[in-house]
Amino acid sequence: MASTNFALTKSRKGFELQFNWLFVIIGGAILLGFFFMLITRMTSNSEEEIGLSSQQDIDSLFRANQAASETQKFIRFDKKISFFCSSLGNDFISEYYVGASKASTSYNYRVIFAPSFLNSQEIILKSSPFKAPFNVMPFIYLTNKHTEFVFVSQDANNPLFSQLASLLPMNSTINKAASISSYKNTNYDYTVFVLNFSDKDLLDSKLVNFDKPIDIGRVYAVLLDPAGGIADSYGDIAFYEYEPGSGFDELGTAGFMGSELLTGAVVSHDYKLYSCESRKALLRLNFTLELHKKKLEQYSLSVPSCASSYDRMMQEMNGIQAAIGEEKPAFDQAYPLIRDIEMLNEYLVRSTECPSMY
Amino acid sequence: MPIDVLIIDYKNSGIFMEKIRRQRNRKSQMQISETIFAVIIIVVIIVIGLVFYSKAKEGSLKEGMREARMERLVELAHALTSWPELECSVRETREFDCVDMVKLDVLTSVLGSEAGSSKSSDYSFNYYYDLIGRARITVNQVYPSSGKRSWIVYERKGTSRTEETITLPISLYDPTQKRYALGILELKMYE
Repeated sequence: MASTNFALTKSRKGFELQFNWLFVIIGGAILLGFFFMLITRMTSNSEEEIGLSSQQDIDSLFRANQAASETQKFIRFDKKISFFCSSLGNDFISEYYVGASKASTSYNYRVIFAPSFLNSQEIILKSSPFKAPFNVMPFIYLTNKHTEFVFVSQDANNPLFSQLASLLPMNSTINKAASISSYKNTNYDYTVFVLNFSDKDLLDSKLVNFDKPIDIGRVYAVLLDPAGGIADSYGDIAFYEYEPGSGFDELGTAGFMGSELLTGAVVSHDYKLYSCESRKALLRLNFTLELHKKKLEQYSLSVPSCASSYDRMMQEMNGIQAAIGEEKPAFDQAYPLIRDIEMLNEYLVRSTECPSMY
Repeated sequence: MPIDVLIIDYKNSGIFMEKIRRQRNRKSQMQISETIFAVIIIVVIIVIGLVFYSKAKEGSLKEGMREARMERLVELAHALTSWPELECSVRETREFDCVDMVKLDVLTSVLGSEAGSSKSSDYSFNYYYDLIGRARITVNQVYPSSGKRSWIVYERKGTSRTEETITLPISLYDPTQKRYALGILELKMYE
């Protein structure tokens, strides 16, 4: 009887002790899990927070530079920025992501020319107004020192490339070459060959120094065909990407009007991004033309003696709107009309008392 | 009967064993209660800590948002006068903090005609909403006092009462009369 009771007490004590330990282990595990979850969440939140704050910094930088008429900046920024732009009719989705942040910043109605990825310790930023011939909107160009622009021409003093070199953001990495097949690979993030349409045949050759799998997505070519062979004109731009082992693949052809869009095409060297951004610029041009037309109507009522000049300007503006409103904008028609408006405005300023258009 | 036999008998009896068992049960129950109580207190302390932390975080986030809004407001106020659709310029020579009155009339009529209607697909509506957001931009002529004019250039009301306001003295230029006036540009930004 006594031994049975003793055994029962002992087993109960053992059970009690086991239960305490079990309780401590479960409680400890829950607490440990809770703190582990809290720390993990806080770490990911702080990463997200850093990403968001960098995103806000870069966004205010873009906005501030868009407000300025013309700026050049070299900014230390050690996070990757990826750009995306897609359009459906007149609706756009443009956004960029900074670092590991999952949140994006949209810039559906602003124009930023940049490659799809910028990943280095610094950004070179240039803002410049898009004029047609009046101020339409500011463009932002983004590149870095790790993007190499190679002007390919037999002529070392090619006038188009001399113009382009001054239009690209300051401190951009610019090199010259007579041919591309044996061009030295110096491990830049991107190597962009810029060629005249007359040198199109050069793109048929393979690049002996860029034929490793690591070179996929690193080499691009932009083929320029400007009217008159100058940057400040209109024409077509063909975009290519180099596929190691097989050669250059054409991604598409888009038009340009004015040196600002041409510079944008070279800086972004991405067919989709350029097409989307240039479309946004044209929509803004169309809206600005509408505002100018309404303004000239008011001028005509206030100063009837100048109405004939304003009427002519409005006709030119209607022509520009018709040319850029097409599915494939007719820049060859729009560009001469822009120059006409420029001349008419010059005439108003120099030879009359009429208020100028811009 | 000897006393020691009585003690042994009492110790071996069921009453004594039951008493010891009860005492032990009570002790272990108290231990469990203490542990549970300690865990509850720890949990309560953690919850209170988390509540305080989240409140502090919320406060700093709100302050951060306010700072960002103020920064944006100042940027926008200075940018407004350099907008091509408002700036005074002759042959691309822009005048500092000057707004063209005819451009102001045009923009007010274009944006004002859309303020009432919900043209969400309209380019200009979306363009300015993307650029400015929920805000109100007004321009008031203050000098000369004769023929004073005022414009509500843009208005998209906010959902909350929180707002920041900035005023900027500007020149107003009438290109048809070639006359200047003094005005105040007020930019109110809603949360």
